[in-house]
Amino acid sequence: MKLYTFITTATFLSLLLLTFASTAHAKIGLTVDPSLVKIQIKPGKAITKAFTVENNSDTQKQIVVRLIPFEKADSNGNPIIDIKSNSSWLKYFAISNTNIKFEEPFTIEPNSKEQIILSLSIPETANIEDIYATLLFSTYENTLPSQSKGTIVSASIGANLLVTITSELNPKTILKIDTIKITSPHLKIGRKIFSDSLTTLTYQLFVSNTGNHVTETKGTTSISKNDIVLSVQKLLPQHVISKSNRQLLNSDGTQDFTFKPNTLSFGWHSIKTNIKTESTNSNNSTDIFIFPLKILLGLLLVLFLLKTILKFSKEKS
Amino acid sequence: MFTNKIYQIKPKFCKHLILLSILSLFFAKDAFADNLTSPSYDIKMGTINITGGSKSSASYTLNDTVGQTAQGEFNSAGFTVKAGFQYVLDPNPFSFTISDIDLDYGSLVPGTPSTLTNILTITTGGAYGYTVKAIEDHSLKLISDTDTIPDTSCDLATPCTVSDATPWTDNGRYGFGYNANGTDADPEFVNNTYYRPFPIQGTDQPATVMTKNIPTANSSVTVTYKVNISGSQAAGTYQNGIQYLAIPSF
Repeated sequence: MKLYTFITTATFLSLLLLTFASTAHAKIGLTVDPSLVKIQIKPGKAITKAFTVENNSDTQKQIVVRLIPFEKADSNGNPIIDIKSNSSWLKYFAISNTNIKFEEPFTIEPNSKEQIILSLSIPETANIEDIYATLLFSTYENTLPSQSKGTIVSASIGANLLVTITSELNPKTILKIDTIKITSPHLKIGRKIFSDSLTTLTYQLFVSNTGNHVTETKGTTSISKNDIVLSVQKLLPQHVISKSNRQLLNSDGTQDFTFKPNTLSFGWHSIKTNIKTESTNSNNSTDIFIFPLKILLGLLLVLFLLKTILKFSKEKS
Repeated sequence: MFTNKIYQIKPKFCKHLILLSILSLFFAKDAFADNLTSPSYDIKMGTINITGGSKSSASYTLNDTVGQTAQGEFNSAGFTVKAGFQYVLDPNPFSFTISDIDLDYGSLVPGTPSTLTNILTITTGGAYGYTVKAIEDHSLKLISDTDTIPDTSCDLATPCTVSDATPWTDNGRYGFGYNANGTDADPEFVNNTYYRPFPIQGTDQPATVMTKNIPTANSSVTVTYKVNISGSQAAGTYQNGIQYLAIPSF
């Protein structure tokens, strides 16, 4: 009887476990570190850099590593990549791990890391130019399992490389503050901009790099009146690759720069932005007329109402 | 009686101590080999830069050179390296998870859509933002044949494309597509009735599913996959593969 009870209980528990196991969802988790490497390197020189990729899943994963070149990015610094793109300078790169090669799968155990040693060797005769690439780690299935039904999902995670081949440190770049975009309510008449003193002035900044090398922006944006600085905000240093635009962020990491004028502010104010890169400076100034529009309109409305009330009172009497 | 012993130390001894300290600064340097081999790595490069201090492990960890000005480093080594993001202090690395990778739509009934979901989660670490893009290898295809369930074009009145999501509410419209819902989801997905087909490898470029342009931690989007078949769809097991690419911004 006791044996019978034991067998029954064991069978029941096993079935219960199998049920839970079959409903557990397979997942993927990948981590890469660092996610950005910026290199300036002379022709004829070589360097190696280690990247760590981690499999955060509960199962072993086959991973393939590839280097995907890119030339463009959007205004938020996201590379525009074509996973099939190629470039002649890809041969400057190699993986030094003895058991890991580009485009060949390797295994990472569950909840484990692998260190990838990426080497970069620039020939003496290499062009002075920038090369940009994303080091992409992808989960790999040789073929879809024949017994699988529906959709099999795979993941890739990337790290960006911004490389400047140069014979001098911080080669010259051409950076312009393209646009100051006012996003708070305002009035524009021709080139003149008008804003109300009760409205917090909000604006966004955009820069363009028309030079041949990536640069990092550092600087400030300020509001001044009659050369008296009323407010200063720091810019978050950001990379702008060659021939691209970038929206600047303030030091909090947000897109908007703000200024709260005094309630009775009246007169021309200047939005001044100064950017320093490693090799150049860039400045821009936009004037805006701030005045108490809502207060004036309110006063006019009150006067009109008073006049109407007085007129009505006179007529009645 | 208390005696202050410091005043009893001889001046000559102090001079020797100072001299020894200065000399130790000149001689206490680590020597680094240029050719490193191990069962795991064979590094043939002429110059390897390692930060000061001991960095020992089964594998070699190479970090940025420190201790010189950038100009000094560039002149002596021929390069400078900056890794990571200096201005956003976050110890977490860039990470990406997908909650469910095996999506079995089960037995499909013509005219009755089947939906499944999974969750994509990103942590940017120090990166200023990210994008996650998606691409499929092909439409849902019969394993044993060439029959496919076509990618959706959504409702007839407002057709969707790989970049434009539109409502797909008509159960008489067949195909396979997806919706993305979350704070960082592509704004094309106005609400959970908006779908679009996955771009196809070799034909289209990957489409953005979620993106953000500021640092974020554990930002999630729920992707809903929808399949609806007609009565004339060939019976059998259909499958395809979808790849999600998570790229940090720089």
